[in-house]
Formats: sequence, C-alpha cells, structure tokens
Amino acid sequence: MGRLVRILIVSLAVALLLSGVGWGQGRLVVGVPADVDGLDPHRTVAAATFQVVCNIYDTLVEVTPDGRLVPGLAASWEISPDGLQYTFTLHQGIKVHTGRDLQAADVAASFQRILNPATNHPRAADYRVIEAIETPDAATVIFHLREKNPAFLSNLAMGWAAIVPPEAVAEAKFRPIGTGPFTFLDWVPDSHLVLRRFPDYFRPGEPLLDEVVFRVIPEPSVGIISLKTGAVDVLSWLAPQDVASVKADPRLKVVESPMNGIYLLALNNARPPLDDRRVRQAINLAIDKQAIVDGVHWGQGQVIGSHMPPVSPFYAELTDIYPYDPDKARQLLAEAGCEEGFELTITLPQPYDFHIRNGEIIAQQLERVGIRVRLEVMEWGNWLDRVYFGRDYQAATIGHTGRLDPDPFLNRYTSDSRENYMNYQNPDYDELVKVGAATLDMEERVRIYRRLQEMLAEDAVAVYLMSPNLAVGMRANVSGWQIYPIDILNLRRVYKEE
Amino acid sequence: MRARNYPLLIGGTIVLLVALGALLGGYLLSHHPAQGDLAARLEGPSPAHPLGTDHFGRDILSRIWQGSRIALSVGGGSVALGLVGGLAIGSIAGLGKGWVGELLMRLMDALLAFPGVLLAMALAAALGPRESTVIIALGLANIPIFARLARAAVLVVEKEQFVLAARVLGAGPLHIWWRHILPNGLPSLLAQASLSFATAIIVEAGLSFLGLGTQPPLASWGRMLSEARDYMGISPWMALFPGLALAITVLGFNLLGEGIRRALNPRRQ
Amino acid sequence: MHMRAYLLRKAVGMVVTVLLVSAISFFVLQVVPGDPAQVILGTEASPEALEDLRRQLGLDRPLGPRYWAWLKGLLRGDLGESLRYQRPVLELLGERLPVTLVLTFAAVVLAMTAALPVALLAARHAGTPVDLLVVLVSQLGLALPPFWIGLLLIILFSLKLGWLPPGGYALPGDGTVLSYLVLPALALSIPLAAHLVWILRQSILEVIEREFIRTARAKGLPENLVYYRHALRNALIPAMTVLGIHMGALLGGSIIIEQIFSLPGLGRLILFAVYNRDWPLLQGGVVFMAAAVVLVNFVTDLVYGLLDPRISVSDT
Repeated sequence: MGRLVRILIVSLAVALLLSGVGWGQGRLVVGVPADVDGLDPHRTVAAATFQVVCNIYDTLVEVTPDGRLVPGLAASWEISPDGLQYTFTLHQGIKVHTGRDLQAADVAASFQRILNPATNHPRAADYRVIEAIETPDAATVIFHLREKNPAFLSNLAMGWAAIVPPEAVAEAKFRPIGTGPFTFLDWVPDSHLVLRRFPDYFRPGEPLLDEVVFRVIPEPSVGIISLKTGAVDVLSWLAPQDVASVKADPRLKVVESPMNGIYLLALNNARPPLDDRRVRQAINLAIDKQAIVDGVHWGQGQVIGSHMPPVSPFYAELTDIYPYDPDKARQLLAEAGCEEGFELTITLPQPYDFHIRNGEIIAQQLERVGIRVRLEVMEWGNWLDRVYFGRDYQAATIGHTGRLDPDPFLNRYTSDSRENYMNYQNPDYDELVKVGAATLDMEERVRIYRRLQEMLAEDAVAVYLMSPNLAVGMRANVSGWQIYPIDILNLRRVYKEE
Repeated sequence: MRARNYPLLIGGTIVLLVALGALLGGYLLSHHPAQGDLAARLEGPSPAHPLGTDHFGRDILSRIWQGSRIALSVGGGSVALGLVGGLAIGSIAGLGKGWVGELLMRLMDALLAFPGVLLAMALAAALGPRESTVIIALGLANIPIFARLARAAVLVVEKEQFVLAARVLGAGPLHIWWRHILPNGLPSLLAQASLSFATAIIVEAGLSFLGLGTQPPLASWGRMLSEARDYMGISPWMALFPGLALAITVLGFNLLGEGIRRALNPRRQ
Repeated sequence: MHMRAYLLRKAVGMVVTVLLVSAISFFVLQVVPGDPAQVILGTEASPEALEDLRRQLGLDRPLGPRYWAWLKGLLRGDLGESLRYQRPVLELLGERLPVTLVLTFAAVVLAMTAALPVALLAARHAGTPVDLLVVLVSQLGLALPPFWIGLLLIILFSLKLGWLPPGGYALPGDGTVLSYLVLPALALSIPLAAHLVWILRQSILEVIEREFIRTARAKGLPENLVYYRHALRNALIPAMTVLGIHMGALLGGSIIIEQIFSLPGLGRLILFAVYNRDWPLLQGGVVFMAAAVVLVNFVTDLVYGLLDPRISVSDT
C-alpha cells in the first residue's frame, strides 16, 4: 500500500508541473457545449456537427454575417430568366485535402449523394427540386430544376449542402476529406476534435491559424471557468447570466449578435379549449414576454410577435398585437366560457434548460389569470415522438432556428405539413405559402411573408416569445471572430494577436 | 465504555427538527415556494427573505421547506421499499437453500450490477421524471443491498450454537427467523436503512442534476443545487443554503442510524 | 477441497447474472418511448425516410429475434454497431474504458489510503473526542453529494488557485492525463472514504471484543500487534463488502462526475446512448459495466474466504 501511495503522490506532482506547459502559437482552443455526432454533413441534423465541419468542407454558396449570399466554391453563378436553370462556375485551383483538384463532377456526385435515398440525408427534400445536374466542363455545374424555387440558392449555403468529394464517402462519419480551410486531424468523442491548417486552401492567405482544437464542455459553469482560467481561448456559447462578468473582465471580450432563431410556446390548435382562438389570444395577452427576456435570458434577446426573428429581412414587426394585459386576458377567457380558468399542461423538453425556464415563468404568469398550469418535463427523444410527430400535447416550449429563406420557416403551418405540430388549419394561409414559394421577386416575397406572419399572429397560433442573442466569449487577443445567421463556427479569418 | 449515546441524541434531534419543520413550515412561511418576483432575483439574505432569493426571485427558505418534504418522502419511500423487499428476498434466499435461493441471489446480483443511474434514467423516460419515479428507482436499487445483508445475517446466525440448539429442540424456520435471525440482523439492517435514507437524498440530488429527479416548479434540494450551479459566480447564497440543508439532514440520518445501532447492539453495552 | 466445483459454480452464476442484466436492459429500453430513427433524422424527417432508416438499422424486426441475434453476436465477441456513431460498440467502449477505469481505481485507492489510518485512530481512541471528531467528519463526508463536492473542488482548485484544469481531458501535446483526473477522482472518493472509515471503525471495535483478541491479549501479545494483525485482518471483510457494494455506485456515479468534468469516459457514452436511443451502444455499455461489477463482487467473495478463516468457500 505504501508504495502505491508514493507512486500516486509522485505522479500527481508530475501532473501538476506538466499541466502548466503551454501550447504552440497559432493554436486556438474553442470550448463547445456539445460534441459532434459524426463528421458527415449529409447524415446529421446536429447543430454541433455543422458548427465544426464548415471548416473542413465548403459549400458552393456562402452567407455573410449580415445574411447576403456570396461566392463559396463557386466563383460566380447565373440564373436563367425562368428560374429553372442555375449555372455555377467553380473557383480556379480548388484543392481537395488529398492534393488533387476539385472537379465539377465531384460537385455533381456530392448532390447525387444527397439525393440518394440510401444516404438518408435528413433534409434531402430541400434538394428534390433538382431534376438533373450537368457538368459540361471541369469548372461548370448546371442544375436543372423541376420548378421555380426561390429558396434554392440559399439552401446551397446550408451546412448540409457541403460538397463531399467521392474519396471521403467511405469513412465520412469519422474521417472527413474536404476542400475547406482546415484538414481533419483527430477526434476523441466527448473530449476534443483537432483540425490543422490546409496549406493549399483555395483562398490565398487563409486560414490564419495553424491548429484548432474544439473542446467539449457540456457544463456552462465549467465552461465559464475554463474561459477565465485560459483553458480555452473561446467559449462558443456564453450562458446569458455570464455575459456581464465576461464583459467586465479586461482579459476577455464578448462578440454578440441576434440569433436567426426564435423561442415560442407552441399551442395545439386542435385541443380544446385551445381550439378557441379567444383562449389562445388570452394566453398571448397573459404572458409578459419582456419579463421572460429579462428573467430567463438576462436581457439577451428581443421580444417578437410572430414566427420570424428580427434579423430576417422578411421580419414583420407585430409585437404590439398582444401587449401584456392580464385584465383583457381574463375578459377574453370569460367570453370563451372559461371564466373559471382551465387546466393547461405545458410539456418542456429535457435537457434544454432555457426552454424549461421559459415554461416555469410562463406557468407563474398564467396562474395569475386563472389558468392552472401543470408542467411536464419530457426527455428529447420522447418529446420528438409525442409532441412533434405525435401531436399529443396541449402546449410546449421549444425553439426554431437557422434557415435563410422564409419558406422553410413558415411552410410548417400549412394544413398538410408533417411539421405542422400545432395543427393550424387555414386554407388562405396554405394558398399564400404556395404563392410565396413560387415568387422570385424579392419585394413581392417580403410582402407575402409579412402577410403570413400577420395571419399567424392574428390567429394566435402560438405564443411567439422572443429571438435570443448569441454571445461568444473569448480571450482579448482573439480577433476576427464573426457570428453568422446559420449555425456555424467559421474560423477561416480568426487569429490570435501575440 | 458507558459513554452517552451522542449519535442517537444529536441525530435524533436533527431528524426531529427536520421532520417538524417539514410538517409545520407551511403555517409559518409567508412566501409561496413557486411564485417569485423577478425584480428581486438573486438577492442575499434580508428580513423579507431570510435566506435570499433564487434566479426567479423565489424565496429560498420556502423552497428549502418544500425540499425537506420531498427529501423525506423520497428517502422514506425508497428505504421502505428496499427494506421490505430486501428483507423478504434475503431471508428467503438464506433460509431456502437450493435453486430458489441461488436464483434469487443471482437476480439480486443482476440488480446490484445494473447501474442505478441508468435504471433511474430508463424509468424517468418511461414513467416521466418525478419524485415517485425516483422513489421506485432508488427502492429497486436498495433491494439487493438489504437482501445481501439479510442473507448474510441468516448465514452467520445459523451457525451459532443457540440457533443449532433451537433447531434441535424442534423450532420451525419461521420461529427461528423471528426469534433469532431478525433480532440479530436488525442492527445492521437499520444501520443500512439510515445510510440508504441519506444516500437517497444525495442520489436524488444527482438525478436532479441530470434533470431526471424532481421537476419544476417543485423544489427539491438537489434541483435547487443544480439550478444554483449556473449562478455560482453571481449569487453563492443560492447554492449555499440548500446544500447546507441537505448536508445537515443527511448527517442527522446517518448519526441517528449509528445511534440506533449502538443502542440495539448488545455487545456494545 | 471443493475449490474447483465452487469456482465453476460461481462462474456459471456470474454468466447468468450478466445475461439477466442484458435481458433486463434490452427489454426495459424497448419499453422506453422514443425512436432512434426520429432522433437521428430530426424534425424534418419524412415518413418514408424514417421507414428507410428504421429498416437500415434493423429496427423493423421483432424484439425476440433482435435479442437473439444480439446474444449470438455476444458469443462471438461482437457487440454490434452503434446506431449513432456507426462504429463497432466494442471499439467505442474500448476507447472510453481507460478513462473510467483509471478514475474508479484512483478513487478507490484514494479512499482506502485515507480511510484505513483514520479508522484505526478512531477505534483506538473509541469514546474520546478524537473518535467523535472522526465520526462527525466522516458523517459529513457522507452527507455531501459528489457532484457538489466536484463543483466546490473546481471553484477552489481551478478558479481560485489555478492549479488544476476545471474539466475536459488532456489534449495532444498537453502535459499528462493525470492532472485532469485528480479532481474527479477526489470528488468520487470522498463519500467512499467516509463510508469506509465508518464501517472499518465499527468492525474493528466489534472484532476487538471478540474472544480471539481477548485470547491474544491474554497470551501477552503487544497491544499494537493485536490491532494490526487481528483487528485489521478481520475488519477488512466488511470493508471489502463496502467496496463491492460501491463498485456499482462508483461506475454509476461516474456518469454524473464525467458529465461535470467533461471526461470522455464510459458514463458519458452511456448517457449519450440513452439520449439517442442508441440501443446497441447502451446494451454494450450496460453489460460491460455489469460484468465489471459482478467480477469485482466475485473477487470480493474469494477474498472473504482468504481473510476470514471461519467462512469456508463452500458456504457461500
């Protein structure tokens, strides 16, 4: 026993000494709250995966922090006047991580993989509009569409449209080979993932870092300490309550931006008494949204009035339709025959703390107008099955994120959509969504999608609570960090000042 | 060796006070444990809120009171389940030789080898996360522990002269179990019961940490601690008092168990 | 000697136990609501895509044949493929095992080294203030939830003192693995150490009053020798029982500790499997943990026989 103790003490001492050793220059450690679930962008829905693999793979089109679509692998593109033919010209000298040149045929193969049912691409439906892909020469890709699709170009900028070269396909889940600014080095699940600079990246001078390490830190309280002690250079998601203390620390700084996403209280429009519009409106009036933004999210967000975040160019300002007005809420409830109040079960998704907290505050607020709330926490796998696909619920807190085009945001409310888990039925709405999805003119589209948001708000389909802010914390010497309207951690232009 | 039984005294006092508090607290406290004032969140102790407020401005003292009721019911329920089930199974396995006893102990081994947290997770997913689920999960996890102790008592006592003598005199197994085995096994079983009670409170805290224990808006000490970890840098009060309540209560039950063991163990007198 | 027959019977018992665990976990998991295909494909999945994926994952086959196929795989040493990682379960477990193993081992060693001398001290001074202090401190140790201790350790040693990393695991080129295991091992070991002190002290006291110690004393053996030879030897039996009982708790507790300290161990792998309804992975992890616990208990039983001359192996 004595020897064991001695060995233990000595090794502890060695460990303590060595833990102080720093790492090389140009290495950035990024703390992330969740691990990737694989590295194949065509076979996942995990936000954590897209955040990381955008540095390994490229897309034909890219999005800027302010939401504009700009060239990616494609140097330029042309859209035929009828909107059915998209011709992309690839950049010169794009190298695959194996060293060879990227060909137009590789791009075509990547989209064929997306469309192949055997791939099980979760969002393949976005690309079903592609009728044929043509590659007249090594640098040109032509997409022929079945019908007009205004969302097509922005769908090409999404992480799940990444160009995966054929040689990556066999082991794409754990050994990705792309064209991106970084090559894959190592992934230890639930611990860390290492990327190294790709010297032959097609954009000269980029990337600026030699090495990037993504370190998985699921606990926000550990994450914030890791940032403050320098164990990580960047914390990709700061808990709202920690933003102030990071801002106050001279060694640290915060980069923040409104997120392209919303939080809401979904209501099952088919379940009595929620099938009565007045009851839904009363619930809207009884909820103090600003109190939720302040109370749960420490002011890190913005109150909304319909199913669209304010960062979107299609956003309609509708926050004054349902101001916080408990008296009017009681009156509407009485009109609807619920003067005695009623019992409402709100289902909250585990393990998403902020949705659970939203539910807790809402419960307190609804109690004040006589609605007796029962909170029911349900683990995510179960939640998807019961609430989202089963539609077996009364009310539920949840969020929606991350699309550039308004159509995928709003078409879920059409009567026959599989994602219409709120059971909204409105033939006018269905009709207008169809019109919007076939309209190419931007001004006309803005008008249509604002009208759709108004319809949702007027019918009080759900309680649209807020659009959250995203705050990224980092050491003061980290520069070039940008936040994008899609959920990616693009490290191409990030560097550390010495 | 005629020392006063301090553990019994101290532990008993603590447990009595906690039980009284849980019983009567509702009449003494003015704040609702689930209703808060957001404007007064994360405050330190004050005359209005003697132990401060949490992230929703809820009164921590009221929530600790509510937590005490949950702690006592989770501890009591799971120990009762484990003790009764374990005593029955362990005794049967010890007295009934042959394949019945063998199979029962294999089943106990399987249950003991089954990761308890996992059992709780599966139950939480199937039945929904709430206190009753935690009680069932902890009770099931306790059964093999009590069963092993009960069986060990049977095996040890059976070899003693007085039991052999009783058997020679024609005593039946039930008589032997009631007269000799149970009294001899009781101190260790009760000591384990106190430990299990304490463990139950701690494990409930761990399950709440993973989001599988008590659910909002109910306050259990574990849930309060897990909520507090996000605000440790801002308001240590939130984390301090539920932790203290938990530690003191668990300490009380542990001491009480030790006291009971001393009082019942004839050799120590 | 019945040793060989005894070992054989024990081995068969162990296999039966592990099979029971595998059956329980398999069927319990099937009762749990939620569909792995839905979790993988997310909210935008079409019914056809879900159907396709379910077929690909073999989820469309009935339960009985699926369990049977899994058992046949087990015999060949094949635990199947993880639905989510799409890699052999055995490989994934192998990657995570060292972390959990080292963590558990370190916690046990820490607890034993701390508990033995303290328990002896308390027992020798039974009834004195020293004893009372030890009892109180060990009770306090038992009263603190490990995850809470873990958070306090992080605050003290990482945030305030900056001595140890707050969590995560060694990165390539970054010192040693050990510095990342100190705090979690400490957090895991404190309740175990407290429990051991309690049990050891108690059983040492009991043993002292037994006849054979009195006899030893009567024979004129020096006081210290009496303690170390007899008392300790006999007190180790209940201590081994405690360790055996704690083994499951340690492995289970590592789920929470690994989560707090962001360690890539078995516990978090199992957590991942539950959340993703990745049943082959969960099944593999559970059977693996169960086998470890059963094995430790088997060794405990053997040591029983070696330590206590009164219990012959054929009794148990």
